Amino acid sequence: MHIPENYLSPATCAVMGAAALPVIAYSANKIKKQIPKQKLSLLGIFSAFSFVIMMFNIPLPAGTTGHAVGGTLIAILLGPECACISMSVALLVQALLFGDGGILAFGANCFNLAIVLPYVGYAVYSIVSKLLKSSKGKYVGAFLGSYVGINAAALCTAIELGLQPLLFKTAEGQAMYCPYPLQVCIPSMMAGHLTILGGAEVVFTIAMMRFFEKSSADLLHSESPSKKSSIAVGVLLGIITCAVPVGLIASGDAWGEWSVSDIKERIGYTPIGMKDGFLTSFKALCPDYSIGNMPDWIGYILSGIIGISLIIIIFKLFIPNKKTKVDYD
Amino acid sequence: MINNDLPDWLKSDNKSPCITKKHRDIKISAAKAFLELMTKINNNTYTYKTNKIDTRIRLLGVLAMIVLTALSKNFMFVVLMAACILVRIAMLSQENIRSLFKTIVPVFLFSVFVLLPACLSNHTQTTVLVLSKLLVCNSLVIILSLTAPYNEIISGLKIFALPDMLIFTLDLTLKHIVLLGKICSEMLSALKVRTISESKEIAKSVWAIIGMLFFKTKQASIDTERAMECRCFNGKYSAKQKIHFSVLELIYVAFVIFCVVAFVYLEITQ
Repeated sequence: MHIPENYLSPATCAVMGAAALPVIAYSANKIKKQIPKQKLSLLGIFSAFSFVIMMFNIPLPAGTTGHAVGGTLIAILLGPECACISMSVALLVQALLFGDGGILAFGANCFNLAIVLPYVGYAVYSIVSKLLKSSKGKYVGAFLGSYVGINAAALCTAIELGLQPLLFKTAEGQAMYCPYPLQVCIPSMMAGHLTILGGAEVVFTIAMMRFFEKSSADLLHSESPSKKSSIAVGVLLGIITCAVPVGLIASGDAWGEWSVSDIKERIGYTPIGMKDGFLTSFKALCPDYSIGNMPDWIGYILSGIIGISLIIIIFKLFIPNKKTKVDYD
Repeated sequence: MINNDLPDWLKSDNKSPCITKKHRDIKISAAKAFLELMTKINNNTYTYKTNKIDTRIRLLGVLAMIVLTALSKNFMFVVLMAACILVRIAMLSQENIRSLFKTIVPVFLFSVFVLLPACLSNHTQTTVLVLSKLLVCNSLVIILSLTAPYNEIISGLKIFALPDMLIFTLDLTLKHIVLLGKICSEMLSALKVRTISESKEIAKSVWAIIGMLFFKTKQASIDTERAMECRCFNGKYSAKQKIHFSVLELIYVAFVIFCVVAFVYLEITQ
């Protein structure tokens, strides 16, 4: 679901960036003012979980792949504002270091994955859990929220990609950026997300909710969580990171994330915007989560470790050090 | 009859000249620098409680990792080390991460500036390799200094068969930095508290503090000499006790061995 470089026109990227920026600023401001200290320290951990879960590629019947995102999970456990910031940082690291998602398209990716997904997912979760007040209502809400959230994000991505050939064409009628129109983009993108990937997102969200409820509930609610809870979360993150090479089993790219040469093979020409567009010469340090000549699985694990560590460091560096309020009364 | 008139000295305008920004900055920056230094040392003493791996083992491990990183011609090994360092940095506290970046960013920027000609003459790969090595090595040293007590680091130097005189000098330097730093920050605080009106003469007060510090230094050195005499200290440090290997220390040693194996493997297969 990450839109690569030059699949969207610079104008679209600017519009999507302008749409995403106020929401990100609002979320950051709300986190700064309202989110308690113990939840702030979890932002990096959840962002890392989201990053690593996006490395598990799931094969789809049409020869493409996809992955769960985990945005609704963060929104449910920490709030949609925290989910927005966590996802944005994960997307930034993916774009800059691993070339997963374009740098120009960062605003669009943030809009889809860091805004639409968590906010829509959380809205559905809130409504359902309020309607069904039993203990199971929360899980039904999470089920529906995560499913609707990921599909809403996929729909937005499909619309953004599908609008490109309608808006930007050469004199010969060739597409300048993404060559597939809405009638191709929407069914292709939604087919995978309505079936397998939506299911994967639901399974991940429910499983993680259950884990945090059973093993590490005090991490979310207590000001001084036990060491056992922190160790449990760290071990889980470590196990998932070591298991990321499973994502390599799914060969092929996600729909709409092909390289320029693949696009040429598919449609017979290279869209001019992709050939001579902005940042075409930019090469990520670890493209496609591979590191130099290392075997793929080692490179994949190392990329996961580097990404997770960087995300946690970024959060620790930039999150304000809130002092515990003392009640003198 | 009560005279309600104000005394003349109270009616007169305050002729104290305004403090200039330059003089104010001298006082504030000096006090801030000393306070920062004292905070760093105070925080370091806290590492006694958190430091679980023997500092001598860590010192040896860090040295081994620096040597391996510097010798490596394989970029993959440097990336592997960088990944390990990033994990370690991610486990540090927020304050430690901030102080690490405060130190490492200027060093990195200066190195980029120095290596810019190499980068511009199409030696980008070499530039990236050198910069990565620099980041890894610096991070290793800074993490050690942030997470290990200073006096244990100094006493750990004994295992490298360094002369006692060097260890003695380092030990005394650190002790006197703490001692004189405390005196200096107390004098600066006293000056700040006692300064009611603002004066152009503030720079003179700073010089007075430096002079006072000189006398205190002299006194401290005499006291140290007498204390050494009383304790029959002849400048020789006694042999260290044996290292006890706990689980954490064994894990650390296993990690260093893994680094050595990875280095050898990657250098052979290059």
